Amino acid sequence: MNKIFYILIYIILFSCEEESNSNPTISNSSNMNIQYKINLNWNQNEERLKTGVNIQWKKWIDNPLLTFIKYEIQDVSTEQTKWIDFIEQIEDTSYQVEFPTGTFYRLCVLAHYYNTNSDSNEIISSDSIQFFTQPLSSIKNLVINPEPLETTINWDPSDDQSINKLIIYRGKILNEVLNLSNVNAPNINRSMISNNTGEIQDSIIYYNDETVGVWQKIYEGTNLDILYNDTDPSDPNYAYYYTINVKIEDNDTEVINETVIANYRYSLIVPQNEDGKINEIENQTISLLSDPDQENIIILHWNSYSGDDFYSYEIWRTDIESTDIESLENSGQKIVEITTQTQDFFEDISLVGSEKTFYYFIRVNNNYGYSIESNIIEADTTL
Amino acid sequence: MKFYILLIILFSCSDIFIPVNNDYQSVYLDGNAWIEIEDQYDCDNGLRVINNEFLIEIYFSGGQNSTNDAGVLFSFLGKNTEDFDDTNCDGQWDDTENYIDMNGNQQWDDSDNFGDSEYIVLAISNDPSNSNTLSFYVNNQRTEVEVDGANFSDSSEFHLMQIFSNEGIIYFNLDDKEIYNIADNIMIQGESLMIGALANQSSISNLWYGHIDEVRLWKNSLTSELRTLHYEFPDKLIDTMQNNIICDLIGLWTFNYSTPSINIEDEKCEQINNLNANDCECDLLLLNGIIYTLPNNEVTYSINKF
Repeated sequence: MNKIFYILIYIILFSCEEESNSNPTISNSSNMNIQYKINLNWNQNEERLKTGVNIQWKKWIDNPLLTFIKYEIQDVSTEQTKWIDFIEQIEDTSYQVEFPTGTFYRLCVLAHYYNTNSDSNEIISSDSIQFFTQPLSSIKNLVINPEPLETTINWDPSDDQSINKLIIYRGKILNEVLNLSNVNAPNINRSMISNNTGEIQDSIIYYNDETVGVWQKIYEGTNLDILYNDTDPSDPNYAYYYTINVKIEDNDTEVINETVIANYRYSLIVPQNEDGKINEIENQTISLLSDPDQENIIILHWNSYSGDDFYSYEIWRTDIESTDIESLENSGQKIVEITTQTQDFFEDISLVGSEKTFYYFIRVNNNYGYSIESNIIEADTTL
Repeated sequence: MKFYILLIILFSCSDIFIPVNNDYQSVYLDGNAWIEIEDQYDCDNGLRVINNEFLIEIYFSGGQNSTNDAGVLFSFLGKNTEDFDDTNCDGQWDDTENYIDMNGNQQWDDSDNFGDSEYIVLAISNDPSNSNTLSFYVNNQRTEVEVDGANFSDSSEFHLMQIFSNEGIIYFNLDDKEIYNIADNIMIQGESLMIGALANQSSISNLWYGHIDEVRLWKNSLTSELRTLHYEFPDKLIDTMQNNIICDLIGLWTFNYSTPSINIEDEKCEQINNLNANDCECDLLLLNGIIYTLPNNEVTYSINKF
């Protein structure tokens, strides 16, 4: 009996001994004196907005010698730095900055702190980062049905719920001028539009300094509208065109000493008659290039489109190797649409990672729905 | 009574029938940990040997990384200074030491024009876009190399990376095949060897996903035959070194432990003293390492190996 008892004790004591070491994990949090970096970027937890940007930065790292005071957000788009806000809570590391739609701004965040060693207030600054809002969505599928006594216009409304105003414009141009080979169908470009209202302010169409046509506002409504009957009689000496502008009109905003930039978007231009003259896009070569590989950013450049029928640039990106536009478009996404014709660069900081390869192309759209595309480029980030 | 014995055996300690091998062979870094091996500022036995002829051998695997950030297998981050002869091996230029005036301004520069604590002296990273691609950084210059057939996101696929310098050329061999070389000299100025991250004393990023099975540092590039032997017989370090060449082993970190440890002891003297015959003076200047984890993270030891 004693023998059996000892065997039992032996089994219990020794055969299970190794169980105490069976957990293969171990932890040893580093106490490194990490140098604080602001790392300003998009707030990836928030959706992209059309009237503002959500930004985020790293939380201040506690340091017994450096006492946090506050964060400061600045607009450094121009040499004249504009103060945006102070954030005094150390944990508040995200912010929404209001911008007009379809605009680019350069922001930076500063961290103010007190340095015990030097007995002075000091600042750490982020890099200045390019942020942008997307343009409003235009109305889609504008269809014009001319009939003997009226012209029926219908369309699909814009997806943007915040739009509260819709304006229909009708353009007319003398047929005898339009039929000249060197005359394009009427366009709408940024120089014709009021920055403050987004409406056409320079409505006269000239040819050799003579008035040959005009853009006229024919209806004001809301984004609930999807149909309009144009009963104004047509003059057979003129060709007619239509476009629809959608806007966010904020009547409550009181702005002093500051330029108001309207939030608006024009649709493509559609001729009244199916066989009306339209502008095919100028056959330019758009060369897309990237700066040498860098850390956390890919900078793209291109030569601006020079035609007077510019509508937008679209930049497309994928991380799947692509050699043709169709496959890049299928596997990737449009990362930005730009409505400023003169803009010729873009800084991509959105989840670009490190040692990561992306493929890009840029598409140029004109007012009549024609497009040209650039070459595809491969761009990398580094450590 | 027999019945009770059977019950005890079956239920109180049921795994005694399963062979338990607690001899861990590697550590798995899951993007949450790294290993720091500090320099000892010793001319013959510290990390400084990398300034001259050296060989670093790393037995490793990659692993699944769902982020857009590359993982760094190892790195030396430091300052970009003018090239100098660090005769006392203190990791910094002293007035009496010779230097090459690289910008020709007839004075020593290490701050305004050259200083950069994030200067990548030497590093290897993988590529989040291509699982068969590595990037090699030498003196902040980057070169990307695709390795046919390799998959650095597969944690079961082990490799041997051998980085060595010979007559002014730095070679990178993977699984006994040269995949990249560059004519260059590197200079370690007291920086730590960081395994599994791009890191220095004030920043940490690009953590590695994968196993680290064994790391060796030599103050000699060894012969091609020996390097091949180390690939073909990874467990036979002692058998292949029954002569004084083993004296050039400066650091050995095997991760072969019976219990998980944050302290990664330099086992070179243990190995050298086990040899039958050599004239090595293993003076116990050990390059011990430490595993660090990100806050609230754990690192896992593994029985997997090369």
